[in-house]
Amino acid sequence: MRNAYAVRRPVINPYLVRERDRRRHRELATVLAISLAVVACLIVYVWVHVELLRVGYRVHVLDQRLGEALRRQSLLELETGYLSSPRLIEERAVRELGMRQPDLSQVIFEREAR
Amino acid sequence: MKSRLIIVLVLLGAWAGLITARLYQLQVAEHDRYREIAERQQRDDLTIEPPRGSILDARGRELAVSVTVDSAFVDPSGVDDPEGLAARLSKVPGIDGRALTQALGRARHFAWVGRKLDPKVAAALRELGEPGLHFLHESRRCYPMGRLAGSVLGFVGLDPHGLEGLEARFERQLAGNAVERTVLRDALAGTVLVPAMSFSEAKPGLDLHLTIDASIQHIAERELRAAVARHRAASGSVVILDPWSGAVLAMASAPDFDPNAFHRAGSEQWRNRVVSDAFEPGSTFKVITAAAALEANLVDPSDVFDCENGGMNVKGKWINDHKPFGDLSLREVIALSSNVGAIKLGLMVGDDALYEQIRAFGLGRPTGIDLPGESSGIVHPVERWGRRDCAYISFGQGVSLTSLQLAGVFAAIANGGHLYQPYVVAGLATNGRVEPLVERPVLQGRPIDAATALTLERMLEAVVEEGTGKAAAVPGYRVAGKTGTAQMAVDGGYAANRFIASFAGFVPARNPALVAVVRIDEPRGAYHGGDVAAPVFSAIAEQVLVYLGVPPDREAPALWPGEIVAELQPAPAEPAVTVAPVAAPAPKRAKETVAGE
Repeated sequence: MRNAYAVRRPVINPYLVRERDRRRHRELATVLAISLAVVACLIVYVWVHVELLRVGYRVHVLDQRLGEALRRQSLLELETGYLSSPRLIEERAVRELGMRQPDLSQVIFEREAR
Repeated sequence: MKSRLIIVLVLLGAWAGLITARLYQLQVAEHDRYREIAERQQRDDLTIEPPRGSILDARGRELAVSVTVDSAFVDPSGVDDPEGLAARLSKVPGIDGRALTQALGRARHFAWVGRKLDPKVAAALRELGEPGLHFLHESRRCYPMGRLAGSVLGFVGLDPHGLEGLEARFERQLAGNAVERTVLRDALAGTVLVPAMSFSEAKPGLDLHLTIDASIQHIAERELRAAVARHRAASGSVVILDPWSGAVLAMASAPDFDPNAFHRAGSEQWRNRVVSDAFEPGSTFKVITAAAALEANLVDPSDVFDCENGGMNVKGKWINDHKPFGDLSLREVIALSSNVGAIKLGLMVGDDALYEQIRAFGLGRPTGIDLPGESSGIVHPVERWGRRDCAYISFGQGVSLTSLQLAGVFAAIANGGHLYQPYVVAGLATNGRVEPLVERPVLQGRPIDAATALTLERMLEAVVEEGTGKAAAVPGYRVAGKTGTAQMAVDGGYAANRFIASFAGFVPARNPALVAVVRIDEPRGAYHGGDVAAPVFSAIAEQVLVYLGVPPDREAPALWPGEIVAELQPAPAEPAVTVAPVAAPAPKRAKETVAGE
């Protein structure tokens, strides 16, 4: 407030230096560190969770593909079994190829060379 | 001004308080309830059923496999016109329209259209594109070779649990271990697996590797079926063993059934007659009587017995022979199957020694084969034998045994006196590595020594060479065996005209590759083992020996053109070698029929 009694004097204080408050710095650093740690933990938690879901979806897709592959494999095994049935082979050999059972005198037995 | 500020603050405070209260209610007071609701919506517990193990033959051919197929169902609550839907679905072959209409009328939320559908039927249903029709995957057991070894394999019910045969006996190993898995469901009802919750894997069922060879099994079944039809018999069975290990190469029963459609057959057809049906063996049992006498050093094959010209009195009871014989050597008693000769031999041995020999051959108790439903047969303790029992048992009456037990007896004779436990499961396998259940072969005893076995083998050769079993001969091979004809035991007595014809033998006699027992129940017309069962043995043995590549063991070229050593012979112009035996040769009938052996 300025009036007639007031004397304006320049304040000469450039020589004064504000002393660093190390304690408050430490407190600030601690708070920042804790905050960063908490945020980091939260980020990691969210990341892990999101990653878990992503991998879960991926596993599910792979699981379905595996199931389908196993299903096809079992069908192929079934077909293999069906095609290797002696009865079926015999029927086709007789009917389609005109084969017949050999007489014993027609069979050649190989003996290992001794 | 100040009062307005207070009102605003109060309102804000009340609002914040309400929110806080609601949050408290949701998050704290009713935490458990809402957590449960959320988990119910988001999580799901699935039962992961592992694939059932396959059953494979000795050469790795699939005898039973499980495939995943579609089952179709309808939610009637979401269908406006159930009868119309049933009519449309029933146009697909294999869908029973009437049953479906009834099911849709009864059910509120779920009705099966068909379970474990044939892939073609499922595809046809899908093509209809009915909105109320849904599908789910189920496992179905298939037997690609149809009837082959049906009574050995057994079958699996709609819910995949073994009900008969190997499927039931090895249920635990074949089924594997199911696991419960917790999964998350997302908003689109998709599945999100969360490893942290549960990631245990279902343990798949183990593959069962059998000793049975599908080709040998097929030969045995074909010949058995033909013989049962030819003789209009009630039933029959064949078992083929490897005499050196007890491994079962084939095990056939007739009538048989297709395990793919087991419900169409009766329980009579499901039965594995080789292990379940005990019968009075008749003359095949004389081999055991002879073994007892030889083991006790009481006789020599050349010792002569007076066979009383057709019958003898045994402690007040007259017992007939099937044919009058005079003096016969022991070798001839067996070859011609004299009852009187066998009785005299048995009486010479005595109750205790005969009983001991019977038990030494493993009779009267199960063989322990890895199949369910095995009969132990009936051998009464010697203390309970009547005064004539020894005589009756000597020629195969008054005791009963299974075809498998009889095969074990002949295998012991064939291999020099070792009684091995028969088995059909070679091992269990995962990832292609087969591990036996137990170390094989399992020696169950030595009922006879090697010298006795050799003597018996020579006597059994005579049965086929010059005795009642001529029809069992296989050109080029020495065959050893014994015929049997037994009256069927009925209501404490014997039926006058119901017989069981059997033949047990091994070939080649001096280095056997197989032992087989053929049994035909209640043949009509001819009923002697030598006429009915022996030709079946011959037909089977001939084909199996070729299949196994066993060269002839006869040196006499009159019966056999001789073993052709490939190295020494130029290639024949047209050697008829087939992939598989294709037709039964005409049964080789004996020139002179010996009745009543």
